[in-house]
Amino acid sequence: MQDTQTNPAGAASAALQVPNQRARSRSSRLDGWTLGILALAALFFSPMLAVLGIALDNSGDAWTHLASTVLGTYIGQTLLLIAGVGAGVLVIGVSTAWLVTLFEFRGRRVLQWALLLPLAMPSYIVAYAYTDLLEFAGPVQTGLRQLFGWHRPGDYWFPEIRSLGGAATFMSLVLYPYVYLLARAAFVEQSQNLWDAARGLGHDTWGCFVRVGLPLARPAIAVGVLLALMETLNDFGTVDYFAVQTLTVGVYRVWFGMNNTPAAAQLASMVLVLVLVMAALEHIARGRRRFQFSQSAPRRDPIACLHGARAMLAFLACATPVAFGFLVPAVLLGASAIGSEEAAVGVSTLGLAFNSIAVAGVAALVCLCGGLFLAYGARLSGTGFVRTATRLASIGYAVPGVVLAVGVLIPAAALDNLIDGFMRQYFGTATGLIFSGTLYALVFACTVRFLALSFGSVEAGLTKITPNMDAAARSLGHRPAGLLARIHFPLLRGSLMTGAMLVFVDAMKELPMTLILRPFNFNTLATHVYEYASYEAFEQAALPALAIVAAGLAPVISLSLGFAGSRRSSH
Amino acid sequence: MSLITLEDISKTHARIAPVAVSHVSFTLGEREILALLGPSGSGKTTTLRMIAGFDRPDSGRILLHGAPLSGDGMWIEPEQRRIGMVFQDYALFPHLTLLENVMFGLRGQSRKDREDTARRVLAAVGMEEMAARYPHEISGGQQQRVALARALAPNPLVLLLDEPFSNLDSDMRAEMREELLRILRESDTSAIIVTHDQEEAFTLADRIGILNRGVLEQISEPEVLYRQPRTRFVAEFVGRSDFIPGVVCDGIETELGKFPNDPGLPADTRVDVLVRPDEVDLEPAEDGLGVVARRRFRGAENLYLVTLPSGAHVRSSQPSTYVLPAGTRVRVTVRHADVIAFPCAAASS
Repeated sequence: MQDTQTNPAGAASAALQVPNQRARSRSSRLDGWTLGILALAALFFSPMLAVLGIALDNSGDAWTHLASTVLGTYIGQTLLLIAGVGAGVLVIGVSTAWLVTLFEFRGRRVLQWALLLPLAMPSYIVAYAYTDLLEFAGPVQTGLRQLFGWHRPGDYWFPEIRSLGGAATFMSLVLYPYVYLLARAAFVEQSQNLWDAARGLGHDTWGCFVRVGLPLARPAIAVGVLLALMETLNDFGTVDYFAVQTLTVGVYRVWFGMNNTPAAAQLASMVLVLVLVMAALEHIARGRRRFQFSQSAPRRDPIACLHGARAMLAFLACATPVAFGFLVPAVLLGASAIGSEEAAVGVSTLGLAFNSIAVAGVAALVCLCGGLFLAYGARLSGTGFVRTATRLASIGYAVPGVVLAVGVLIPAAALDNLIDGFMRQYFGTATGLIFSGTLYALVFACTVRFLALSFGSVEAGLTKITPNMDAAARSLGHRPAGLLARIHFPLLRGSLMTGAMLVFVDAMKELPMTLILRPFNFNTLATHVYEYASYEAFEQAALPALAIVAAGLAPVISLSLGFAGSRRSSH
Repeated sequence: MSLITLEDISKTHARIAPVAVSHVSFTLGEREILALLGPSGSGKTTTLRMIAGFDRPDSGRILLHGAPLSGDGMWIEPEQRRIGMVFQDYALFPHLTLLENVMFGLRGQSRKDREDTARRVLAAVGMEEMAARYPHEISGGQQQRVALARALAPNPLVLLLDEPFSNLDSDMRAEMREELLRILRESDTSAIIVTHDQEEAFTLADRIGILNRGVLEQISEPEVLYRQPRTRFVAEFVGRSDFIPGVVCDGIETELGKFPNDPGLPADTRVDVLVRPDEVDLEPAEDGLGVVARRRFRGAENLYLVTLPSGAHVRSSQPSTYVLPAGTRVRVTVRHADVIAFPCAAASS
């Protein structure tokens, strides 16, 4: 301890030379953060305001026309779809989560993560694949007709695939993992002691589940259902293909079919209000979740071991959603892809994949920078005001792509006209389209919609770095820059990767915004699949669809690795 | 010259409490161990963080060897202060091994030198065999040792410890206290320890400062705090204390007799006189003033609660073999070394 005993007075007097500018620069830097966050929040919230603003325009008599004709249908079908998907994901998600966390049965370990697989399937791709299989001309009905000698549709009854019920079914099959994931986490993190206490007070396994497990998991389940419903409202591909008249489809039809922008914005505003209510509910549910997650002694092992017929039933109950939500459509896609053995398909798929990866990659990078900025700003200033601003900035995750497209494209076009007019008048040159119909608009819209994913990841990562770690590093002689490089970056790396990956994959799957905002003649995997499916040429779309699914597997794999990790650390 | 000097330090947390620290002044000498003791929210940790440079005082000066660290328009960043800190939650870096954690604060030497120093310091806290492990792989007590080693490794001028033992169980706590004392003495390190545990403060510290609502009520040697508390808060907070009512006339009249007016209070003041259990003797007597209300057997002693005619209670510490049943009438005598009395809050108006 004595070797480096420098003269402390000397050190202190050397320190005397350091002027007091840092004190002031720090407080002004804080102001900079606040301003930056406000600017970002305003920018990312502006599409929503634009939608509301445009809705105030006079839409002529289109609105009265809409109101007297299809508006009722739009609202009714939307509510029915929400009710159907809500019920579907609730039943599938909670029951499977309950089975794999509370019981031991053959196949449980595999099913535990396999239940996440449908997350990789965009609902529109599942819809295309099943339609191909189950429609009148598809192999199933053809086979039945040959088997029983039926000829015409009137000879027999078969459920109509392209219907509201079909849409609700297929969406439930791919969206239930949201509920499963959160319900499972809630069940796993419930204290073993609570369950033991309930059993000691005379309740059997079912009684424990109904009276203790389920009520405690309710907020988490609510969050899962709301996330699934937001995805339902976001969906365009499935409902458009099945001709289900939801509000989302309505916005698109009125905008491009009737060419009435204000009326489209008015419809979009209705959707916006609906999703903002959902987002608020989700926020409330999440807030209540916090306290019950802080309990000690999480459950390590399932309570009961199932055998024989019961084990079989449990296995079937969990395997069915995996089979219909992932395996069957994946096999169908694979079969179609192999069936259309054209080299041209392979080559064009490569080009499409390049476009998709480019857009998704840039979006992921931009989202990551935005997420880092917001999360650090919230950490450094920590005021309620700034937190509200970050929440506003990331609210886009709740807003359906079609609605966001309205809010991005129309102001962008107006801005382009303004710049073009200005340049023509003063410089005699036309600038044409700078923002609208270019990749800028698309990347911006993706950022608005997916920022919450990267922001959430970075924020979660930052909570692992306690303020005392910052203080410790500085008292050990490291400057703030060194602190970032040596403590924050290594500890955040995983979260940054996760955030980027989530944005990347979602941007690759994204359909409606890409469809509306892409430059002319620019195709991605998703738009290609959509177009060929609309031409009823699904085999042409199978390979690109498979590519999207393959990308979607990345987060599923990382989530299931997380399962394994949590199991390892709990033992 | 004193090592650390705080001059009239004040700090307000706008959102948390009206005043976090108010006009606090004290000094820390070379090789001195100072404890800051007080209830939660009394400003102990805030004071510590201002010395370390994590928080900025609103006013006042902090000096190191007479040169300002803060105040007078000066501000030295924490990384330039050479002040080590051990945190309540240890704040070990989870992605670094124990050895790398300890090496983190060592700079400007070759890697081998840094590693040698780190190993030597880890050995001093008895953790050299676990150097390659990660923080989550060791127990709380071991994390505490590593946190101490990490703070000591860069050879700080002062070591600050924020509730260092609060996350340990009581056996471990006593052991770590002795260990800490040994390490601090061996390395000639001065330290300021923040705690709300008076036993901890008494065992470790040369001097103790009592903080209450951001105000430093008294700072002195442990015995002085106990025998001559300067405020009622200090009297109540440090040690076991009872108060009996009295009036100043010629001395201080109480139901337990007349005491000299050592505090020099003006005549006719209604006062409360401090009585410690170890100053009170009990003797069974038919004409005694007190009645034994209850006895608590505490192993080495019997702690009696005695009711006086005025309704006031005093406690008396007696040998564990001295047993009087509840209801016994007793004569109560007080052996005061120093008479401590405070004017009644109600009577002063």
